[in-house]
Amino acid sequence: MLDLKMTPFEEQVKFTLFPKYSFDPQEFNTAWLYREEIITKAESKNLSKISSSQDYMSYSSEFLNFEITPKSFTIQTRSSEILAYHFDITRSIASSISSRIRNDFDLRLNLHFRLKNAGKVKQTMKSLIEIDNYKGILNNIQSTAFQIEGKTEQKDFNFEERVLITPCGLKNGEKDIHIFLKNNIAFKDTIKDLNYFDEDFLRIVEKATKVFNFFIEKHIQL
Amino acid sequence: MTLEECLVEHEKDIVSDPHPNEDLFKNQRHKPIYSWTGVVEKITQETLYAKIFDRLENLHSELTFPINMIDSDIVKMLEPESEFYFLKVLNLRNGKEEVKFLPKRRIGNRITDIKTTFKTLFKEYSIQENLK
Repeated sequence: MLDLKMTPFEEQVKFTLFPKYSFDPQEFNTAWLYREEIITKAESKNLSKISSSQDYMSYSSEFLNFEITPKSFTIQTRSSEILAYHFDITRSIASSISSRIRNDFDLRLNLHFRLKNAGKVKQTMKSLIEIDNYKGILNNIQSTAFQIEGKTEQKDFNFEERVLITPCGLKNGEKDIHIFLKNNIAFKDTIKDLNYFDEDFLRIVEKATKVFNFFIEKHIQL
Repeated sequence: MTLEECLVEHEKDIVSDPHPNEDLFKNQRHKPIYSWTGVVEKITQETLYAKIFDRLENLHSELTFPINMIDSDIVKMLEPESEFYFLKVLNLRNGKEEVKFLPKRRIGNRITDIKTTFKTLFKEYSIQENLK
């Protein structure tokens, strides 16, 4: 769904719902997912890698990973290509537990780009840091990062977005750069509005695409 | 939130992306490489007829697909005017490409409306056009 100017080496897309008070992870087991008709019987056959403890529950379907803690219910995927399906499942979960969740949710898109060499990573960060007097810059011995934040008020919801660009911190990640885009959507009424959110959701995805392409074209593809 | 706080918050993602999280996904058999959205027009014992929106080509097209290639549980959920996702996926175990159907969920009493679907599809089309 993201029409990007450069193909990411890896993608991670996450929706996170938050409880009004606290979730009991044990409640949201695979049987719950099927009982609430969030997944079909065919999909339930493919649930695997179940990990469970008193304060943690996680399992994977063919395309999605579900992770529940007392503080959050996260549904994530490694392919933005299925963002519409991913949103559909998230919306079903939100609908099922609407009385117990806060009226806001997070959509995080983490894109990981592999550049030609480590010099290209430094060059990208330098070009970001040279943006005149921009306050969202951390440039010290430990790390380099660029961040930009924005808030807008829409008719039915408030929208906050934050972009963070940073080199990969892994040992073999010297050629890699990450763009993290975190969106928080807070409905003015209730989370039930999520059921009627299609067009706004498409606009948010369109905006995310433009944000990514802006940084790809202006800074990464130097 | 300061940049330093933001970095701490993202540190989990930076560190966990991609390696430790590989565990969460390694049992997943497929990687979606392309998806279409569609609406069922007619369904017979042998064939599914549907309209799909192909983002790659930026056009609406028609799909005729053998029923026996769709999981029987999914077939039960497909009826005229119901919406579905039609995915082209890479089977990570054998490296072959496959297609899969996933039905769109119905939320509460919300009735899937074919006009809404095509309005949404048209919106996707417009977005593609605007980005050019």
